[in-house]
Amino acid sequence: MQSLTKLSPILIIKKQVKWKAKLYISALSSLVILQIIFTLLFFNHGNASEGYGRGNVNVQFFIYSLDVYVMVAMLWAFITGLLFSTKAYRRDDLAIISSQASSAIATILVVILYSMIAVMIIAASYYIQLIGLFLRQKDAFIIDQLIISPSILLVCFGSICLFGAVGLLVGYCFQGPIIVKLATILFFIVSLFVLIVYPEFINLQSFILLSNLKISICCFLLAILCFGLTIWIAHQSEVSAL
Amino acid sequence: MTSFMMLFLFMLLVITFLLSKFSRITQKFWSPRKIIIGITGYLLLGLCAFLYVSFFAESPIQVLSGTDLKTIEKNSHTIQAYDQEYNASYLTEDHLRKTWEFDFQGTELPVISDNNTPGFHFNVRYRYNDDMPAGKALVSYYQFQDIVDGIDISAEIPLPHLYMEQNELVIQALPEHRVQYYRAKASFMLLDFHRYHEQGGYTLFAPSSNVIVIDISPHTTLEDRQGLIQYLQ
Amino acid sequence: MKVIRCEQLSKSYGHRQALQQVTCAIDGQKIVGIIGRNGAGKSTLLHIFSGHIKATNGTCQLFDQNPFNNIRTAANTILIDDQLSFSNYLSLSDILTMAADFYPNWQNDLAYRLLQYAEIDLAVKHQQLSKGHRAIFNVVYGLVARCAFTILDEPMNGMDEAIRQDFYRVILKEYIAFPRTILIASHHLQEMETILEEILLLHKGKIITHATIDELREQLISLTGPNEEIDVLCAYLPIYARKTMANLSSIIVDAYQLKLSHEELQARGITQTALSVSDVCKYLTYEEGSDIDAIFD
Repeated sequence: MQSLTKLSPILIIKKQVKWKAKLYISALSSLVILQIIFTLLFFNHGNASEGYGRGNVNVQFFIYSLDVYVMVAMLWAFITGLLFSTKAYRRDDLAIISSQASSAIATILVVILYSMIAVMIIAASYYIQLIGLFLRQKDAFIIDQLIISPSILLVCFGSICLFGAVGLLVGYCFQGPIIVKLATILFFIVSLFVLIVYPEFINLQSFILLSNLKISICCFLLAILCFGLTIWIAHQSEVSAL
Repeated sequence: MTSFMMLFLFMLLVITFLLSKFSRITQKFWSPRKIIIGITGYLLLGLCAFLYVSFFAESPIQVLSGTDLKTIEKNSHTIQAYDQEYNASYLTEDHLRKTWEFDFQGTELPVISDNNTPGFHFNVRYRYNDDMPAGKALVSYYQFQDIVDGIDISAEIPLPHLYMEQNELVIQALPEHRVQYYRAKASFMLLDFHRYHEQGGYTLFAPSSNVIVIDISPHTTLEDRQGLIQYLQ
Repeated sequence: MKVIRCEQLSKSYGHRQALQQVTCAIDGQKIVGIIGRNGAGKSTLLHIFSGHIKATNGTCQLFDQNPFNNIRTAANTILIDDQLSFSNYLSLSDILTMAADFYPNWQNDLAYRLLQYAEIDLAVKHQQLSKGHRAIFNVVYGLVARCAFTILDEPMNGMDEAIRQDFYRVILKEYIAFPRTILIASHHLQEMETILEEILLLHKGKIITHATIDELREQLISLTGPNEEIDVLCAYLPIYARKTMANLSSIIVDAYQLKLSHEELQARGITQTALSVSDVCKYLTYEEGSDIDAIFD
């Protein structure tokens, strides 16, 4: 009798991550394209502007911050997470050694890895924009803060990771068991109702005022929760329900 | 909130469309290896840009530090106090930006300040100067530091427009002009903006108005029909 | 040693019962045919074995473990069906490299030789293959992985007859080289009769029979004789099918329930004919009124 193969789940997940990271790479190239598009769109006037009147002088500051890049990356992460949970991607996992849970874990690790690379892409896009700006507006170029602080990088990473996790979770919810699908639909209806009827219920003011470190910890905790739920749903999911 | 949601949904649609389109195109023409090379190249380009900006992109405009701002604010208060006491000792050579000399006839010099023109924000003062001959007026323009959001914009403020017309000295402000600055802030404006407001923002102070001083002979009378010109000791 | 044990296994999709109280046990190192008509529940059963879907009721044990979402059983199982798909970024040669990374017993050389034999270009992508070539690639993929439990669901669909015959031999040779449990669900029973050791016959979600090829072949026989003699037999024997032409009738009956000897039958003018396994399966799943001719009558 041929002896049974005893591969450790960690080894299998490691191999899955290796291949998925390679095969899903087009997601990152999409992010680069998006960042380039938004760099061009916001090149002339930055992401924010401030105006001051002083006598017969009208002073206008065009501010080039990370906001747009991070927002685009967050939306990208959400959609990427959603795409990774679709049939087209999950079906490919069946051709190799995998279970629903192991492939979900591998996908989560890829989302985390891609979020890290996304932060690097954001930084690269930002500095490419700055160099363009410097060459074009040399005399009116002001450097307030050039180096992205580690705490800001953590916030970027945490928020991108969170949006990726939410996208993945939403995708798995709609691909999972019927009870999870119904619960998700109900959650969306209730959320929409609350958003319309009690818009003041959603108040992020106090969250925004937290320190960067605290914000990133909150994002990571929420992302871990979403990832945990994703793995749980994947473990309950059948292939036929894909 | 609604407009933000609309924008968010619009961006979501655009991104979804681009991602789906791009993913199809890349599948046909690009292999993962080529894409990885492309992304690595982009990151390296970003790194080079960072290094270039760090080492070679020296900005001609300096952002004043908090301490500098405090000193300037203190000076501004002093200037305002002196001005209220009609004391000319704050008008030093450091602040003198330009002088004009005008000749006029007679012992009266009518002065018209065109203060209705936008951007007219000068304090006009006169003083008797024993050294000044009759029929001559020396007009000095003193400009003080003007700080906007940490940037000294004094150099950008245009000089007043002065001229003699029908034996009257006319003071006008030049047409409004616009100055644009491009600021690199490698952080989140969204977070900084809210925190800035919550903390009450930076110390903001009213800048000292720039001063036009008209030196005339003690035998000359300055005619100020508008009542805007004050005597300076 | 039993590789699979199923007890009262049921699977329903809403109101539709795909499997109904299936109980079976399959020994290791055997090539077993999963036979049944369309919609019999073959694919559902195979997907439960591979751990892709969960039984609604009952238990299924693969290598003494529940296979549903079980990475340990998945490491020893491979399911090849027509829905097998790979990333659009991978060429066939990349797919083989990837599979070699995952499956410890992967036979890369063999894969290359078999695909070369089938004249499949390894530079193309899986989606670009023709239906037949895709089926060949999938079978090769399933066989060279050398998993202890190999499931082939309609593996020969799309292949031409010659290549089908070749690949039945490939399956047999691979099995001899590396004995393992191979389940093959197929409608081409006649062609693969020679490589199967056992057959699990499913009909409407239930197991009709689970027997060796020889046992199954002997299960039904065809009796042909005068109408009156056949009518006598029909009175006490369950009849699977009957055809009447002039004064001769032909019936399919259960061989084990036939109490008459060969000589006795001959004395009554009845001739006994053995059936092929394929015919036995056809008659075992034959239903009254399911005659296609009846539609046109």
